[in-house]
Amino acid sequence: MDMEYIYKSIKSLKNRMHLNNAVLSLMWGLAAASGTAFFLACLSLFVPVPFVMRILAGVYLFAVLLSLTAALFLRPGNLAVIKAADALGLKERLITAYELKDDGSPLSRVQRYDALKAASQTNFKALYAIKFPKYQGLACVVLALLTLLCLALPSGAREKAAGMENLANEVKKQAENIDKERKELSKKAILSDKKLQEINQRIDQLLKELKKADTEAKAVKALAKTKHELEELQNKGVSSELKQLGERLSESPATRDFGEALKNGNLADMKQKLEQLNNRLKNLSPEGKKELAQKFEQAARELANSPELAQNLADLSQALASGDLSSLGSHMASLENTLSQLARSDSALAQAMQQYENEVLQQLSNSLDSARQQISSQGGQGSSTAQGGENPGQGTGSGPSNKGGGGAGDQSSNRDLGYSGDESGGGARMPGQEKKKDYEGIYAPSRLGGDSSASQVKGSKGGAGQSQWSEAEGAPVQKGNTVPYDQVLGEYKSEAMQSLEGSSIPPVMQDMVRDYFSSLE
Amino acid sequence: MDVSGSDVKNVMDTVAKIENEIAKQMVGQRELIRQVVICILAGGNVLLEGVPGLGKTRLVKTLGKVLGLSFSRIQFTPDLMPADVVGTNIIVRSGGEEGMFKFQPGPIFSHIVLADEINRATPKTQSALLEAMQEQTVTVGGTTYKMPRPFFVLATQNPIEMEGTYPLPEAQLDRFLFKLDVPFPSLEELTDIVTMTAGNREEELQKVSSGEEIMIMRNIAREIPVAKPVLEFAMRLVLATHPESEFAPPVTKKYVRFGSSPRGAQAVIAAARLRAVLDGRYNVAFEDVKYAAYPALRHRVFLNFEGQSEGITADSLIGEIISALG
Repeated sequence: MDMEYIYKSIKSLKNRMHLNNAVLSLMWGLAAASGTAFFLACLSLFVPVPFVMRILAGVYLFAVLLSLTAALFLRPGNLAVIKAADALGLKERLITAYELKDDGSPLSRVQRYDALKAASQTNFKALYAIKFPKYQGLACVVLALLTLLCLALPSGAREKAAGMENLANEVKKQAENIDKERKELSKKAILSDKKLQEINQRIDQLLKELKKADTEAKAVKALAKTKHELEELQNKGVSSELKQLGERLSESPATRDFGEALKNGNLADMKQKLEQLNNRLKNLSPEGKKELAQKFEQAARELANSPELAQNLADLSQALASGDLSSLGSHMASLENTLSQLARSDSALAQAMQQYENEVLQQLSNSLDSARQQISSQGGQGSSTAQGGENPGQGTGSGPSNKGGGGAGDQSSNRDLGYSGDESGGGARMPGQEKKKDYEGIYAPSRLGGDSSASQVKGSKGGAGQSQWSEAEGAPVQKGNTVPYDQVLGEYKSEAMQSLEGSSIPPVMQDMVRDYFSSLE
Repeated sequence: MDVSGSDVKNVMDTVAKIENEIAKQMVGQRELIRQVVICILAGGNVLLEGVPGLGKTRLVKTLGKVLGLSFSRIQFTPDLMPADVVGTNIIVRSGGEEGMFKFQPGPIFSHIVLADEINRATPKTQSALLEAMQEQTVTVGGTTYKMPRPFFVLATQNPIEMEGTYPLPEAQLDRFLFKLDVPFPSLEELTDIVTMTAGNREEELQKVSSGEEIMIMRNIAREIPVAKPVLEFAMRLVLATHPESEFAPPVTKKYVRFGSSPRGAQAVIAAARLRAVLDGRYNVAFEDVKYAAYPALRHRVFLNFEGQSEGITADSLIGEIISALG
């Protein structure tokens, strides 16, 4: 008798053992996940762990998937099932049959038949129960409860993590917006592929940096950097061909005006100067025409990247050289047409860039401002961010002048004036709530002496001399008001720009200051 | 030997008949009868231990009748000599010729030898049985005589604590396949015993088997397969009776002086095979080994002083070893 019959007779037991293994595997997986979750929950009490709930859900999901996958491979072998069946009352009939499977003696055949008969008559479902692994289950429950308890406990790290989550969410949202706008821009097809590619590269870089940014400062920095790059791209956008041609034509007195107009990229001016040039060409001496023809020819050779413009210039050069004034007009018209197209293209690019800046990047800046406000407000509640309550603020101030001077610092530095830092504005925006421009409140001191322009006093600080310091009671100190920062941003920015001009600061650092104020707008 | 299913079934039927026939003369003691039959079919000798009057001698006599085998009884006493057991050479003269030595077989030359109260004889006389029990031969005066087949000794002994007894030497104890404790009958059994033996009614016993049949059944039983895990369990069990063994549980290390000899392992497997057959199976199970372990090992495990002083019995020790091995 073939052992296959015996294997079939114990298949129900095999399935139940497999199920038991799967349940056990699952419970071990859940227990391990619960342990990990508990550890993470404890960790999040002391270290900011953003999206801890998502991570915990991921841990449980991973554990379940892993244990279920493992369960697929935990199907017991025939020998294991045979041993289990024997232990359930078959009295080693099956293991003996298994060992005698290749024995053809009459007694072995009888023994196998006896084993098959006994196995077929055994109700394995009744004898082999699906066991719930209670110890693992208990461990899961206890660890899950401890995890929930840990998650319910308030801590500074958790608040900080919540702020990081808000920032990340906002950055993600705005990254999606940027991506959307980028696609819209691509659809409009107003930019050349090359320009579009450059913009896409920068936007991709920005998106990567935004994803990596775990602090508000990094996100803003990435944003400002991209903005700066796009500005450069815009400046570069004015056709280099036109500029190149303008440079070349500016060298000749006859075409200087037209060359300047080309460099400026002003279409109306360009047309006007071209008209003037056309009129001037008719009265030009043959030597002048020849000289001009050479200029045009030289320019045509240099404009290899713009074949149409080069062709126009070559035609014009040929017409001038040959003295064929009749065809000169048509060539001038062709040149005007080509130049107009180029200028319009540059204009379109500039327009697109402007639109991008004004709409998309501004939106991003605003969104990040909002996220930053949330972080700031959370930081003001006790975390040790730079704007936190106890740290003295840094202020910029002018020196003594006849009209008095003032200093502006952040709110925490003005406690001596009777203001506490909890007046900072900016609350967390709830999901789905309409987004509105809500600027952070900032303290704006009133200047002693009333409204007047600040004066800058140049000089250097010497180490000589003595200074006295005393605290005067009842000094005529004027308080200021806490106002949304956009109301004072212009003033502060102009003061900063003035300071930059009057100070010896490396250009790179000056750019950083400018970028900073640009990012606040 | 090719053994078929019907052969095994015949063994079962024959043993059932033997047991039923014995039960006509023996009240109760079904398990004792079963173990004695197992021991006989396994080709071993049985040591029956119990207080006088429990039917030990009666059981052996009945067994001889039922199996249709020659039977002799030797009542062991302190003055019994070895020659009284195995026989001796005597001078025989016939027709005026010179006398010559002729071997006069002792009572041991029977299929079934009842060594009654074996522990009342001196160790020297007890040892006269050694060769017969193991090799199934007797050597007298330089000549070796074969014992009839089948041959087995069923010895009875009173508990050692009783007066006028000589403990059996370890070597002789090892020759017994089983040592069986004869329990005192229950109230109902005692009533039946008195009713049966105090009257005139005598049950007629039928011969239900023969020596040849017993030899065939013995060979059939030896063909019963033992799975490797079961065999390993039996070997671990025997090794676990040795205090120095890696398988020895703490109880062995604490209370055992010497463990079982390899004959114990042979006895366990042989008895387990027969138990499986009598249970209607064609294979040996763990429970057969456990069943056979008590009668096969209890006289092969020797307790140390601590074990004896704490009243540890061999059976309780074997039980704990089985539990420890799972």
